[in-house]
Amino acid sequence: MSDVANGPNSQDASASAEARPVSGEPAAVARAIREFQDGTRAEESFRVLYETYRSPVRGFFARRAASPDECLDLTQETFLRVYKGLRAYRGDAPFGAWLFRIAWNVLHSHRAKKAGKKASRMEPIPLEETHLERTLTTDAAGQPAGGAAAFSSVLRDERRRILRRAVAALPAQRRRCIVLWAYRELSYEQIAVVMRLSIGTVKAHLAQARRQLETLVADAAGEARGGS
Amino acid sequence: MNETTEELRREIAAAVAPDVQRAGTGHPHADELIAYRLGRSSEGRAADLQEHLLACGECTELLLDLEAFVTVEEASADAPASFETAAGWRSLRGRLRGSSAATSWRLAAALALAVVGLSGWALLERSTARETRLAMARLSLPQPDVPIVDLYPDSVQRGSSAAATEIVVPPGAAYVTAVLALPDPPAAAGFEAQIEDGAGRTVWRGAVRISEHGTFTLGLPARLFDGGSLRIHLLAVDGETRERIETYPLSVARSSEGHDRD
Repeated sequence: MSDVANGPNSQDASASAEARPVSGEPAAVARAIREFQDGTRAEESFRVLYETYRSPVRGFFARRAASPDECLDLTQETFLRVYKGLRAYRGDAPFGAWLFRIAWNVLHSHRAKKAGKKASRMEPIPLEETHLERTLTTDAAGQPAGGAAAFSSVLRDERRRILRRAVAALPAQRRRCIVLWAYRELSYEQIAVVMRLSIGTVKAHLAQARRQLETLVADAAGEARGGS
Repeated sequence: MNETTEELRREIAAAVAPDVQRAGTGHPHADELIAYRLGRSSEGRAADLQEHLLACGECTELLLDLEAFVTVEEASADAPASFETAAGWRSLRGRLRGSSAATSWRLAAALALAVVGLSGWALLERSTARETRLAMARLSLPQPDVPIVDLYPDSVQRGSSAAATEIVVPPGAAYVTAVLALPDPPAAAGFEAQIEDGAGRTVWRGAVRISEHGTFTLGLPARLFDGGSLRIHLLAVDGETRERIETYPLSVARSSEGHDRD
């Protein structure tokens, strides 16, 4: 299936067809950074930054730290480093991205310290067999399917093969959206972030992908029935 | 989400799982994720990253966290901070002040060290200057018992080292006056004296002037006469050329009798 066959929405083959806008800093943040760097009201300015960014920093560590205490320590360590380095911040990237990088460094230093060796990126978490896969390949008692169930399994495998081919044939952006939705179970908002698309575009991609897949699968099933 | 949609979702998930799992390796660096979020990645790299994100929960989570960092909303100036945030700030403020104080202490310590060092240096300088002034004053005083030694050249003493002139330097002597006799002074633009110790090392060298009596008078620091044998060479200087014309051997002994004026 070519992109042309997909109609007017086939322009989504490009990875950066629609870039999410990079939001500027809130005015209070920009002002606080300027005042901190000028040396005027340094502590008050830093408090504005802390109160604005504490939540994402804490959330970042809460998802990765071993304990609430560790999360608190790492959050504070991050802001301490920001405090020490803020005068050198030049504004080439948004402050939030700069802060994220510091938090990331703090996390890796902490992990390296804990491991007693240089930290490396975490290994990918092995993907476990999904509930769906278990459901499809076992009977109600959890035993491997057999007999009539085996015939059903063959049909299911065939349907899955068709579906797999159909997904692979989707335009790149649409395919990624449907995979993030179905396999990663991300929300529309999260898919929009990951794909750097607007939520509206994500919804459109998903709706079109579902229609295409349903049609393809129905056609394939009809062909299978007709042929049998 | 209705049942049909949920069923389709599960079917798709199962169908794409083998393809997606193959893409889940080779994590990008945080800087790459940041560049991607800020729209600074190339199209090709962005596509690669998106393929990776389909499979990698960790990187997806990082990207979603990054989104929370770059899309913060301005906190309302009127809204009071939560109890937790306020407590966190109080704790952080203490550490910040501690950090600033530590920096101040380090600066103060460095300053104190510098002051002490400079003071020491100034005292040393003053001490050195005082010693120099005292030494000059001592040298300017008349020294009635200054050793004066008349030296005769090797050639006159038939080159025998045993005939070296013996000189006794009293402990308090600041300098020694040596008078070099030269029976037949050559015509030369100038003269130099060179003093060698017993090992043949040059310990002093300088210009000397011939007197109307055909002698050379050297006022030499007493420290040069620490004992042992010395040889004073007299050189005729003509431009860059130096020619040794005489050698004066002497043997030095330190007097043990103390009549130091200091």
